[in-house]
Amino acid sequence: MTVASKQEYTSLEMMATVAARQIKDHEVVFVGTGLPMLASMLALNTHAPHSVIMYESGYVGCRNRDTARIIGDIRLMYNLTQVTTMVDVLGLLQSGRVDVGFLGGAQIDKYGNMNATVIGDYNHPKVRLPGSGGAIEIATNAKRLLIIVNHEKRRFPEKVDYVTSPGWLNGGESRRKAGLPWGGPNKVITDLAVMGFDEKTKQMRLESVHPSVTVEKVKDETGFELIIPSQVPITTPPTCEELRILRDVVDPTGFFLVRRMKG
Amino acid sequence: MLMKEAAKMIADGSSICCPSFGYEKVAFAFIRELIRQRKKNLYLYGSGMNVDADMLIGAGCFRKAEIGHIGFENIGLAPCFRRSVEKGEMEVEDYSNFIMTMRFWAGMMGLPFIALRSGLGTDVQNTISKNKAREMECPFTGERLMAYTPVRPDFTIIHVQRVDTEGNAHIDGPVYDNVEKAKSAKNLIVTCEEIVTPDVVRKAPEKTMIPGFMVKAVVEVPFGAHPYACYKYYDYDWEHIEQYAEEAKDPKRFREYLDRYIYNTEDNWGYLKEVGYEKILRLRANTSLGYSTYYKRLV
Repeated sequence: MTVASKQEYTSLEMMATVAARQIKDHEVVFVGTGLPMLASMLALNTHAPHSVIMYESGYVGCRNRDTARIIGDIRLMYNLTQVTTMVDVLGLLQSGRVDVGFLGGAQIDKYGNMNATVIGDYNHPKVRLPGSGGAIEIATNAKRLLIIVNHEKRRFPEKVDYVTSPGWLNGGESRRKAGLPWGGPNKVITDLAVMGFDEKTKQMRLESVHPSVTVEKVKDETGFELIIPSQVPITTPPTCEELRILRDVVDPTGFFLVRRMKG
Repeated sequence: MLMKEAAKMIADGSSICCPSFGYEKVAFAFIRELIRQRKKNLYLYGSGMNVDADMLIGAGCFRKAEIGHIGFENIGLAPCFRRSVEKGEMEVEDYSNFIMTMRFWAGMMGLPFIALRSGLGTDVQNTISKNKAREMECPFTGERLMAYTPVRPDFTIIHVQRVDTEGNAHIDGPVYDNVEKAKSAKNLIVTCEEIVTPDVVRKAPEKTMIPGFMVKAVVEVPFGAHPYACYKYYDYDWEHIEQYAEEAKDPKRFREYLDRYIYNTEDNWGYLKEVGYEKILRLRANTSLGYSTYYKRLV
């Protein structure tokens, strides 16, 4: 297993790899659009060949041959275990049968509450975003929630403008008290670092920084007080094998990897 | 029925739902006809929506929407939706996909409400009127839940692969929440790739998702979901979707898009001609895959 050097991968590939490693074999994974699609396929093709990939669109047990561009892509029909309804898959999620859920968003606060609805005031928004989609369901019901987001100060405010999906709410026991029986944000994976949450207070805590990223840089790009442990390890970068699978198997036409690199 | 007549049934001010998950099997030709007939003050119900809802919003068809999501996934934000809400031209109530799906389910089931966990701890609790969404306690366990009112649109318009002469609708591939949306409606209109004889349905009844007795009107419209896909028939037209996403960012160019593809075309045949027959043929599904091999050749 050879680890790639910094020049050999993009931050998108880094994030996809870190996210993929969070999936354990045999787990049921609820996948949202974009980077989680790459991460789940990478996991399936490396250390988690028995993971069950599930999409809100009703696809269960995906082993698609061509890269899906959107979560309802009919490419996902090919080589599939089951195609079912939204009521069915979202019902499985609500009844606690899903181990891992992925989520992105425009803003995240220190308790992992996320905003995908509006920037500014809800009734007079500065920017109108798409809205929840399945984000509420994933954040409410997945046993373990993995959040993937770009690390910028404006995306990490003290308080999100609108709580689209529930994280640890106000910290401590507030999530359970609000009636959410399980789940909660587990990791936040960004282009700079990986973060977890303090067991008691549920505040976001730095876990590792990516190669050539400083702790100072992470603090600068975070709009709230991040818990910083005395020792911060460096995130293990993608291996050459992980990069090969991402580029040659998961996204051989470069729909996600190349387009994003250009941007 | 003719598309024009079917669309005329929808009076200004009606509430409508055009199931639109996954850029697939959406009654897009019908949506274009609604725009062509310059419908006004419609009320939108939907879960996850994309270009379809954005185009209707940009054309000024809606006064209000109850939604789960309107966006273009990795292509970006929905430009007309964004403009319209930021300018205060349209009112929105934000739920989630599952909440909306289950509100349609409650409508289909004839129930007065539906209880879910979705919405607890979110701003759904602070923005939606108590007449439509409120927290409740389970009468048996005391658990905290959210109760929501059902949705029963005046019209739901779905697109399917085939309908027989008695109105029974076959769906190939994913069904999403189209059945809940169809069966909760007061009036259901089905557009399809082809109308077939009843023996086709009777040989494969497991594919019948909508029984004919629920269907108010059937419209045959080949390539009626373009620029979206129709499983086993044709793929999405990704370039057209990206073209729309780009042009819709600018109100003037959006207007030009509507002129070119909708206002200046007579019907879906005119629209397809404007898109280009070669492109349409390239999108035809490969029999072994159910989608087109066209996109592999692009890169």
